[in-house]
Amino acid sequence: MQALPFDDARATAVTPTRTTFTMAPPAHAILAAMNDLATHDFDPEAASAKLRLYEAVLQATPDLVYVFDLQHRFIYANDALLTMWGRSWDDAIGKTCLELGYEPWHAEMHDREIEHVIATGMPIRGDVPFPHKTKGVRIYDYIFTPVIGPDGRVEAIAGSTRDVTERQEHEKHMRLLVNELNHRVKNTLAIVQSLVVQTLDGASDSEQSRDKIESRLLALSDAHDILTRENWQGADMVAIVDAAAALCQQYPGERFDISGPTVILEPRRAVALAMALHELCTNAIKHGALSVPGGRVGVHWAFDGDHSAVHLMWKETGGPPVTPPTQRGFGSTLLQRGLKHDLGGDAKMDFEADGLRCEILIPLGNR
Amino acid sequence: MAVRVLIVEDEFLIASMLEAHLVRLGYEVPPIAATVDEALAALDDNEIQLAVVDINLAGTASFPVADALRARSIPFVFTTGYGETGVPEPYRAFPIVQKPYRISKLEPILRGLRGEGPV
Repeated sequence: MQALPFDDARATAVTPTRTTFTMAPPAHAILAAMNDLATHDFDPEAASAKLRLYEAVLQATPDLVYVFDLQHRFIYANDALLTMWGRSWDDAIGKTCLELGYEPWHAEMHDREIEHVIATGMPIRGDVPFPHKTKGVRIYDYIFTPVIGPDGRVEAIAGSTRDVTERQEHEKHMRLLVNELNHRVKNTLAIVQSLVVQTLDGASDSEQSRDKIESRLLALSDAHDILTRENWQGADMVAIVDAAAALCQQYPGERFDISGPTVILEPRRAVALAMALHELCTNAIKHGALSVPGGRVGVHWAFDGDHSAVHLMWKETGGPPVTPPTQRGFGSTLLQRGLKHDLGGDAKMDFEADGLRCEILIPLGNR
Repeated sequence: MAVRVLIVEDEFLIASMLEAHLVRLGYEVPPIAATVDEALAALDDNEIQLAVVDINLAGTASFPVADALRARSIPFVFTTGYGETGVPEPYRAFPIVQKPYRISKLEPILRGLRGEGPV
């Protein structure tokens, strides 16, 4: 494409900083050429108005818009591109990518793509990282498209480039979330499988085990609700304890004394504690303080001296005389071994005469 | 002598189900390891012949355990709730079981790892 004389009026009207164009934008060239060829009633004012409009659009878009000539030189660059380069138009005009300081591999890639567009007359698209002058390395999605001359040949290559860094990061984040959710679901299904299998393993009658499976699943579901409210960042122990109490008490608020400071447990530990407290509640209803009117359960917790752990005490009072169980069921396994394993702490059951006492040690921080 | 299988799994419920199953089948199961450190200590303290290793231990990858098992030539199977995409290249050669898995399907894999045929 031949460079045409610069149209002063257009450039100064739109971008006063560009006062010394040596090449005109191809839009002008094409329009002028087309008009020259096709019609004799060329209206310079109409053409000029149209160019002002195009220029306004090209300068307003955050996308990078540019044109290469057939020698791969920039003959147009909008403000977004100049800003990205940190260059003035005078500085950039007529230069190739390599001359503008692009890495050789990058310049060569665009050279190949430009040649491809010239040879095929078809657009080409790609994405590439590039250092923005002020924003650092960004990911750019670009398309080079042929500008077809009146003779049907490619006379220039117009390009449009979009910063897709945020979009790519968002997509990556979404993939991560979906992957994480899938992991959680699969893990939860494995937990449900275990609850069902192990409840049935220790069961003698089907109605009882159905009831146990149901209430264990509901306890698990409650723990999930609490975690969901906190975006699965963690759960407050108060909420975990309250939920366990709410699930098992027939007289809300009357049978439990609950107190302790705010302690945020990460999801896995929160679930483990919720399941353990559920087993304690179930046991209290069946054999302990909640099996008779007037029995009470105290749940109190406190930090130890250096805040490295939390001690939680479950203590039943006012129930029937306590006798230690003769065999260990799934519930007590869950309480003792399960808590120890999942919390990295300890759980101790004392079948004291006036009521069960269970002490749970929860170390804080990373195991 | 009973074959000793180390279970490396952060979720007690999942580990205990597997443990109960393996014990029923006559395997010996030392204390379940919940963390990489516990697993490495278990390898030092016990004569382990097989292992079932969860890839994600409370957010920490268990690959150091896999390395230690490989160094000791102890065959093992990975379990994971993530797809196989979560497994880096050097570990893809090891058998992987996706959670949840049919508990009865695991033992034949363990037998296969020991070069034993079906029962």
